[in-house]
Amino acid sequence: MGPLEITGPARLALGLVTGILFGFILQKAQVTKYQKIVSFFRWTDLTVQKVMFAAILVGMVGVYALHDFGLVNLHIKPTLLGANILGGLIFGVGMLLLGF
Amino acid sequence: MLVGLVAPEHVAANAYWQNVKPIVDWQFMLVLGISIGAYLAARLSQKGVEFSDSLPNIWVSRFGASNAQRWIVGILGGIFVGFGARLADGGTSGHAISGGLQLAVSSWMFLIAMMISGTIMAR
Repeated sequence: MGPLEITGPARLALGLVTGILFGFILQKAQVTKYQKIVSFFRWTDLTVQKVMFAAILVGMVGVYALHDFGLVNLHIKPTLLGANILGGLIFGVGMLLLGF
Repeated sequence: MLVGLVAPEHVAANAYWQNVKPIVDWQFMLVLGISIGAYLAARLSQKGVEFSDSLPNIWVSRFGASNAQRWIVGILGGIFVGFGARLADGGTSGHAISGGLQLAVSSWMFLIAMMISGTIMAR
């Protein structure tokens, strides 16, 4: 954990606030819609792709900048190729069926 | 967590809960916040979002207007999503976005696998 780590009740509050912001933005970006999720997998409407890759790119710059200043640690999940790939395959099917 | 209120000794004996402590942590609060945030966004929308329980148009045009069928497929989809996310140790947020931006190999494998299976299923 880096020096920016927040502990105690403030951590819970921050989790809640982050969640509210995240949910708000997801709804505004329309990625909470069944139609958008199905179009994501049919590649007919690239809204979800844009949201997802915009988030990845912006986050990549931000997180690595903070990391280079020594303010945060990376949390890289272990590479278990079988589990990652099989989990991904199952998740993709589920996400399409449910529509998130 | 609810089980802990009624049967604490069962929770203490359960191997899973020894590994994953059933406490309210920031991630629990985050999940709570997502629903609240999305609801607020919909409510505060200028256009006014309609809260309806009708089926999505593209679902009806493909599978018909059966509510029961949508429920079954929805629950089945939820099971797949939950199982897949636990197996791969993350879902769209934890792997695709959070892991993807850290350039984690596991996350990109997950993302690619997810897009492939979903694209095939969508045909």
